[in-house]
Amino acid sequence: MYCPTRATVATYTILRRERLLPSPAEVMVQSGEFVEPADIVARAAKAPRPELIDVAKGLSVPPEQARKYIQVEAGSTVHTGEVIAARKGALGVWGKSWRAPFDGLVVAVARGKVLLKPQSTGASEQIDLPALLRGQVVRVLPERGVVIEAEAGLVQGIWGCGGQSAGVLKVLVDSPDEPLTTASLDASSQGHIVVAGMLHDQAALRRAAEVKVSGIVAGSIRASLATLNLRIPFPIVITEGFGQLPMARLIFDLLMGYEQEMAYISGPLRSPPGQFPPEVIIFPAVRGQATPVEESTMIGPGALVRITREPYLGRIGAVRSIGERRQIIESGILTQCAEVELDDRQSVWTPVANLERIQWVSEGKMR
Amino acid sequence: MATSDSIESIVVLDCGSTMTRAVLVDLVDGRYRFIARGEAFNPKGSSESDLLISVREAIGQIENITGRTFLDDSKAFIRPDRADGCGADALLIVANAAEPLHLILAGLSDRVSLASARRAIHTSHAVIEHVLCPPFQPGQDGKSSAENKLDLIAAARPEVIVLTGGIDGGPTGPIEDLAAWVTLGCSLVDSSTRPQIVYAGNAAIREQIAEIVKDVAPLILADNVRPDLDVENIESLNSVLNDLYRQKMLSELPGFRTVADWSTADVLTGLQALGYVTKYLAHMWGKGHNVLGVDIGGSMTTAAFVVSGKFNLVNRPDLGVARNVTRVLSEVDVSNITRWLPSEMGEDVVRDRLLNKAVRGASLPQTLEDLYLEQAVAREALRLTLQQAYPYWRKADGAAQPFGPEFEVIVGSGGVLAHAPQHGQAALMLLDAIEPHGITTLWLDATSLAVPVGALATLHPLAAAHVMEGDAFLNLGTAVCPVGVAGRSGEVVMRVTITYSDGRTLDLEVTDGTLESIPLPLGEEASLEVRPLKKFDVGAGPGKARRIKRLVGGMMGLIIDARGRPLTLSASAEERQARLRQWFSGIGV
Repeated sequence: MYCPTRATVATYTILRRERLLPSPAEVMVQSGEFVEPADIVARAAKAPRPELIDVAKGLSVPPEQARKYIQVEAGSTVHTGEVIAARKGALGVWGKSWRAPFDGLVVAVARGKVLLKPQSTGASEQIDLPALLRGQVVRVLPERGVVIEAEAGLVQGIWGCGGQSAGVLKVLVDSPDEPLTTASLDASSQGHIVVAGMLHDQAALRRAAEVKVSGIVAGSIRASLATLNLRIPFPIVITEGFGQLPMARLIFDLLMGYEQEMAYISGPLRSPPGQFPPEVIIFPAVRGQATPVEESTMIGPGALVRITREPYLGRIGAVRSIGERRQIIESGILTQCAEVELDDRQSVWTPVANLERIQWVSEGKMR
Repeated sequence: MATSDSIESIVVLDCGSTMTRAVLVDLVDGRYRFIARGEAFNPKGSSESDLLISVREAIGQIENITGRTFLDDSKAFIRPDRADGCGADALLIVANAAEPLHLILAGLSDRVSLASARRAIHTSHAVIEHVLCPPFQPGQDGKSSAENKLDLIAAARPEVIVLTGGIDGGPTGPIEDLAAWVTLGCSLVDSSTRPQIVYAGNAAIREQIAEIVKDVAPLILADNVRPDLDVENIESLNSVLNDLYRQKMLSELPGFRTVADWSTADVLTGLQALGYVTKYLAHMWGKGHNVLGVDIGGSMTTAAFVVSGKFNLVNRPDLGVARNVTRVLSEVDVSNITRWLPSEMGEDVVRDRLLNKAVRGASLPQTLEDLYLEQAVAREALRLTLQQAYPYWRKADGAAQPFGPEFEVIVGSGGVLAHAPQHGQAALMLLDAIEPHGITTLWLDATSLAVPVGALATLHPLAAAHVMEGDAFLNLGTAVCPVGVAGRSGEVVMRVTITYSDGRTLDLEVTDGTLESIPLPLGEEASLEVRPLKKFDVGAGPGKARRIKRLVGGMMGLIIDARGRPLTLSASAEERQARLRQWFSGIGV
């Protein structure tokens, strides 16, 4: 049965991720090299801020007439004191000129305005791109970055925010339905990716920012908190959805099992087509047998699924059967349904459209 | 390319943001008929969300239904129809699966050129992220207005900047200045990702604009959206934006180019297809009749209409009942949504459920309360979209029409309407969101054929006409909706007489606040006489009667909607919910 929605949870798999800078960069590593999360894989000079020079105003001429007085073109370099534009006065005297305030590159000239970018002095600020992943560089993308292959645990989420970071995993709760609290966050959480069952306290989020965590993984978040635009300075990954849903037991147990291991967290949700969902990737110190994930859009009996709508929202179970005919559900909608045995052995019928396949990869097997 | 004379079988692919549909139309006994439909949600959560997966699944469903083969061993579409019966003569594609274009609109006058440009943008797959309109105010951060303008362009990284302003032959300085700011702003963006500038202003200075922009950003010249103060021309800009949507957004979808290569004709956008259908319906209904087509999708809501013979369309590519439900939440208070619910639901619960729907757009409401919540959002998404249509609905003398024009036909399209378990629910969503007045027939695009038929019309008008007449729309019923204010609750507002084809008559006295479905079986004909009391108007003027000689029954028979315009809901939750339940019951929900 076709089931296009899925999330992957793997205890140990093999995966590839890109690490790229948006601007021209120097790649600092070579193909085949092994990298640690803190290693810098690419570096770029921070572009100096261009300055706008209103030549027309300076020469007291209308913008449409300014072009004839401007002596530089887009792309040309100028040195401090060099004349950018000049206008002779009556009888060739008492003219006005405009000189370059610094060494720079003319970015654009339009309607009497010149955009001048300061020339890099070599001591300018740099942007360093850390690997954030532990693995082997399998491809160098010239002037952009690298592709890293890693053997790791993987938890894909349904929602996320923030950028990417790395840190040691720290589980702050005892059970998957426990929320993150301010009390559980102290200085020992600094630089860690912290794990909790739920996220519904704004104060706890602020506290996490204060103690400088590297990221948060939680089962659910209240929608009111997710849409607050709190400018959270770290990534968040949500595994189940919005509301007060506990983290799926199998995900919680996986993260518990990897406590104190180094991990990577990526929160962006609205990524370009073909990019990955929010995710946490864990690099255990002891390596195991990596099982590749084979993506499939089909489900059948035995498939592990998460139910994505009320009244069973967030429940995990296994497909027992798929109805041969469409059936009418409580809302009155006629649709294809599946029988799912939940983790408490209860069997329920739910629309196939409300199933999210969990691609569970563990101990050399995929389910 | 096959000529329309030689085309018998046609598959139309409708690639939406959440779901892909495939529709098969074929010649049966000399008439083109809708044969089968397959639909599949687009993959989500994959590292390579590929449109090809859902397209092949939807086509596969048609293969299962018909027993015919449309995909070859390499899973490519077979075209033209082979001698062994495999494949189809033509394949058409309608697509709005990609994110809309994000653009910055720059112009000189908010009420003139910018107003016209906004209308052009509202008829396309584009969202305005920022508007640049001089004079520019310095920012709170102490930066000069000039720096702010440049920063805005560099930070927003729009796909497109639409530059407009000035009537043809008018002053040129201010628009050239604005072009300079835009150009300088673009120069700060990395050359590989610089926005496309589209100039749709004073046509007399196109060369000067090209001179300013050259070497910095690519430029497309469109016709001036406001060539004169009282002349508007938005078609050219609209066409440019549609082309850019195809080139910049659709083409980037993984799998899209392969699917597009199978197509017999150029890929159409969903808006173009809906536009064709609405125009065709207006043509079919006859001159002087107003037609409204609405489409409520997961990420986009559209209204296309022909009013007084003139076609227009408004689109909100950022509003929907699934992926873009968050935008609805950001534009209306949660209480606007809960006011349509027949039982209490807390604000936090509403937000949580709607955001869960946003991230799992393909999911279906399993409980009744979830269904009502989705239908409530659909009402608000459509109401927000229609706000953009009101400027088009002025009278010939420019006077505002407080309740819009009277529409003879309203067609409702989109999953939330088509998949409503009860036809009364679909009818009620349309009545609540549009608030039609006078006498209106409601049609439902129950088989989601509106967009495919619109595409069909571009290749094979006869096939489109056959499908439209025979299979496309379901008559929900004719609604009689008086306008007027009752002095007291329960006051009689009109008397209605229905004369059935067998001579029986039914006389009704309709009181204020009534919403009721009167039996008139589907397809059965009757005549109707409506006599409003003098404070009330059903389209002929206050107190004036209207007679309809031939009224055709729909799924809901004849609908009496005497709830008043504008529709007002009680501030008391208890009273309002009781009233809603009464209305649900009145319309058979």
